[in-house]
Amino acid sequence: MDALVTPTPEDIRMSEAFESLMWALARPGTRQRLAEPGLLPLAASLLDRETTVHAGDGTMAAALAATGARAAPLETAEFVFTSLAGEADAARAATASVGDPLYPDRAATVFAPATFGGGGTALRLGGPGIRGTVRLPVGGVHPSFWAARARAIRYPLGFDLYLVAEDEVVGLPRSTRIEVI
Amino acid sequence: MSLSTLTRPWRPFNYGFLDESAKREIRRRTLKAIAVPGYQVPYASREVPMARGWGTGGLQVTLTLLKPSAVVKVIDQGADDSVNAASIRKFLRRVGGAGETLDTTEATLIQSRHRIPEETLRADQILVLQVPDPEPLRSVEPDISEARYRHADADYGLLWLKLYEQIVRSGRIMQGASYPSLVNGRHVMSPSPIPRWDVPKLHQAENLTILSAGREKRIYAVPPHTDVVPLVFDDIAYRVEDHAGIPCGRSGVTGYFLNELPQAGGASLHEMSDSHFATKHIQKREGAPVTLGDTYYRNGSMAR
Repeated sequence: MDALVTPTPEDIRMSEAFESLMWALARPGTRQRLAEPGLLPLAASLLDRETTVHAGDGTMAAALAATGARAAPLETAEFVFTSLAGEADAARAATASVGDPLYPDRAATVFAPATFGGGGTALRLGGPGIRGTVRLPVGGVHPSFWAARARAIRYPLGFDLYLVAEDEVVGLPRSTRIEVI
Repeated sequence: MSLSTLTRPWRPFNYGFLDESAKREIRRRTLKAIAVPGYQVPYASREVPMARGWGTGGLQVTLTLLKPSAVVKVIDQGADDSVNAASIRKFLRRVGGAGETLDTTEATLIQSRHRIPEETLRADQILVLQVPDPEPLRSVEPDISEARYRHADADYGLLWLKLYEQIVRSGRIMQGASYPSLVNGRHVMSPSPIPRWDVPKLHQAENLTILSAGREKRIYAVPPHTDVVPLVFDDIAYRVEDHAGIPCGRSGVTGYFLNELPQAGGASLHEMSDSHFATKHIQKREGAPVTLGDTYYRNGSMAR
């Protein structure tokens, strides 16, 4: 073993945070365990001075500012941290950027808290990363959000969504077809 | 906000060679690539200690995914022992402390140039493909801005025309490697210069595949369980290389993709391209305890 560099605890945190995001997006609907609970480690693995961010509440905005990301309005921000619990929040979140036909990658990445314990809305998911279909109960998200998401997304345009429970993350990229059951 | 809060204590080297801002860029772009399978996401490709065109795109993705528990296999046209593959493997070991293997079944992270291994990749493995030219429309639309419009419009008519002309002129499709393939029913991608033999391995795969072009600064992905369909006319079937019946000159095994080695006098020798898979067959015959993984092809045709 002639390794010249070993990872710092911070390196390991960031790499674990990103891996959970990557597998969440590559296998939509699966609950990926987070090595570290909460949204901030996930944000720190992606955000820096080159990115823009919008946060729904002031505490979160202050915490995210430490990454160096610039604050931006919800409609243009590359990263959006918001609650989807209320009807108004859910409707607003669905106005996040969906990119443009030449650059669908310029769409927003939305992070929102949720629970997967069984209460709430039952979803049936299909699309890339999913063999056949998969069922996912989602709580903490207003039921009206799913129709708003469907209206906002015109694949390949659309925002990509991460739902984060205490120590789990579920990815719902724009490529995922969602049916409320 | 000051620089001191955004920077870390000085170290001669960052883990995995790339600095954190480079890694965050690759992470952000990789996630967008996974969200829109087959679409080429532009990214800020960094310098690595290797010339452009030698796998710098694949290397940047591998470095970003590196962790001490990773087990890395590096493939160069099927072989693990080319100078390029061996150098990349050594570099990954020195900047990442990752384990190395030649055995596909033991690897967690496989960086490859122009081949997908013969043994079926699993859900816990990531395939990183080096891409010299990510743009499938290049030969029919050299202006990349125009090509971007065509992708936006899902207008792939010129590619169909090119394939049609090949059939009319030559009686068959002449496109050998980099066969244009439709991903998730929407974007046509170049699967990198893998042979036609390997393209069906991407269709509804168990593993995540990330394709990255360093010089061209494009990254794209094929998530697991995603449709990847080569562009073919309904009445002319997709054909893979006809290697089913030819035995490998090293191991004697038949039914896998071969390299043809021209000999003096016009004859040719054939050797299995996935060189370590051939080695494993030889070791097994000699009684060594090796495990041969499941393969995509059985007796020269796709098992699925």
